Amino acid sequence: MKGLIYKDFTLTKKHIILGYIYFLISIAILVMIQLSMYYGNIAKSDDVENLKNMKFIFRYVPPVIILIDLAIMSVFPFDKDEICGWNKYCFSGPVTNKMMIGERYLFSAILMLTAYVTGFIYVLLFSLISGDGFNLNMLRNLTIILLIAVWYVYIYIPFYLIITDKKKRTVIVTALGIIIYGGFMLYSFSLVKELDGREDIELMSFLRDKFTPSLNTVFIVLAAAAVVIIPLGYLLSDKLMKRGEE
Amino acid sequence: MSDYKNAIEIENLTKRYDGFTLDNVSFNVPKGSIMGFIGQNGAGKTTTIKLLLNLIKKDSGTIRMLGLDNTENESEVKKQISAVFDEIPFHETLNANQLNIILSDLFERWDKEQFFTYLDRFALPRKKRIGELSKGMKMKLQIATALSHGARLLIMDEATTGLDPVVRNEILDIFLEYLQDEENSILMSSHITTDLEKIADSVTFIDRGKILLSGEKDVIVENHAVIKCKKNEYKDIAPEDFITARITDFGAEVMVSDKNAAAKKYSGLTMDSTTLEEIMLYYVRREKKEWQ
Repeated sequence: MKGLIYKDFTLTKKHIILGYIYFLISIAILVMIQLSMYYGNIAKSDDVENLKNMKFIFRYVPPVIILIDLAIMSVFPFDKDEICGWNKYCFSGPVTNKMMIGERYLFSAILMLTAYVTGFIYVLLFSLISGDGFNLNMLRNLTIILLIAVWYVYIYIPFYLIITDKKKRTVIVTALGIIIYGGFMLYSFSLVKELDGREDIELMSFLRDKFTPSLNTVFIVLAAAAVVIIPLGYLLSDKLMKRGEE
Repeated sequence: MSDYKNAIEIENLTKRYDGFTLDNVSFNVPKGSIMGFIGQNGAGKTTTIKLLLNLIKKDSGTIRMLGLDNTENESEVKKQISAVFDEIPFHETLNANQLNIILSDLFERWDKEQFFTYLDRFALPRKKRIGELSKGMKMKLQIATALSHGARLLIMDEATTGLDPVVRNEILDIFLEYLQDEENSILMSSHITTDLEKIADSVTFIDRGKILLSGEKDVIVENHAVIKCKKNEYKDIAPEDFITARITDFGAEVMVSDKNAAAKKYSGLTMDSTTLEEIMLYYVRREKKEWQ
């Protein structure tokens, strides 16, 4: 299995580097936004609410970028394997379905853990620099991002094997994306309505206060579901993996 | 494991698709030999090879490779065979060095030294991306990988198709070298019959999912012949004595499968020796007794 993992790393190396470049760019952009806010007098250094909001964004946006990016990259080799006939070659040799699926799960896990560790180091450093100190809530929030990435990858692997037609897959993923995004937007609009006529609270502070209490529940639900999704997805993928056109 | 007579034994192999059936296919590839598996495109060669490699499931029949059932002992069998496809199955962004690292982990008996010896022999660059190699070089690379893990059986699916004659000859020489070890065998599917005329010991001819001929190449070629005669002479030849006849403006060319019997019965007619290509050409038209 080492050989297969090495192959996937070699194929995705450039994209992983690109993921880290995006990660650094996101930090640079956040720094520039914050600086321009202060220098442009949009915010004041003694504005506690603004500072809290900016720290929240600073702390979690770069980890979200690296985790989601590497999660997407981890499934990137599937198409390439199929197109060049690598799967056929492997199955004509000593590679079994279990090895193939196991490697895909392992490779994705390695990339996501790498991104998680990167995110953890970043959050830790940021917390120390900003003087807030590190606490378990930060670790929980970071793990929620990881669990979303885990969900995405480990649902995508069996989904990829069920919908073998690339066009169909693209249509379904796009449709799901529109539904989820649309739902999110509708929910956001309904929340914004709650703010009507209230000038005492900022949008970001409102959202932060609204969601923070439920994060523990979100964490438990996502983690419990991941415990089910991972083995179930593996077993399903093992059954679905076809060696050739039947 | 070496106690087997045939490297491949296929018995009553059947696979049904919509519009195509591989129908009760049976043939053997003797150990230490090279068998040419011929037939036109869509005849069932690739389906048979996919079944051999257990890439698709058979409907019925048995396949034994290197003395073992190919599904019950799949893992054991696959350690000892190599498949070579018409298109290189490696990622274009990889190079030979990286391929060596990947395959050394996949194949228990991967021989790095041998792989690099083949690369040098084929003048294949180690660091050049596969996508930048010519078609011939890609095929040589695939063959180098196939011969570098101690495989006892090579299964080639149209591997020489699309290559220029110089490269094809080079590759055929390597196969002959490989067969110097009498434990090694090759099944080579191709519709380029001239290659098989050069190196095959035996030939199996498949058409529309059915095996039409299978046996020693020399015997098959020796037994067949083409009678060249005038149209009035052709009328005297009994239909059951020939496969098909090609009618031209000048006369008829009649393919017979028993040259000696035909020579006795039609002693006055000119009889020419034939080739695998001609045999294939006449057999695929067997449903029409006459063609132009």
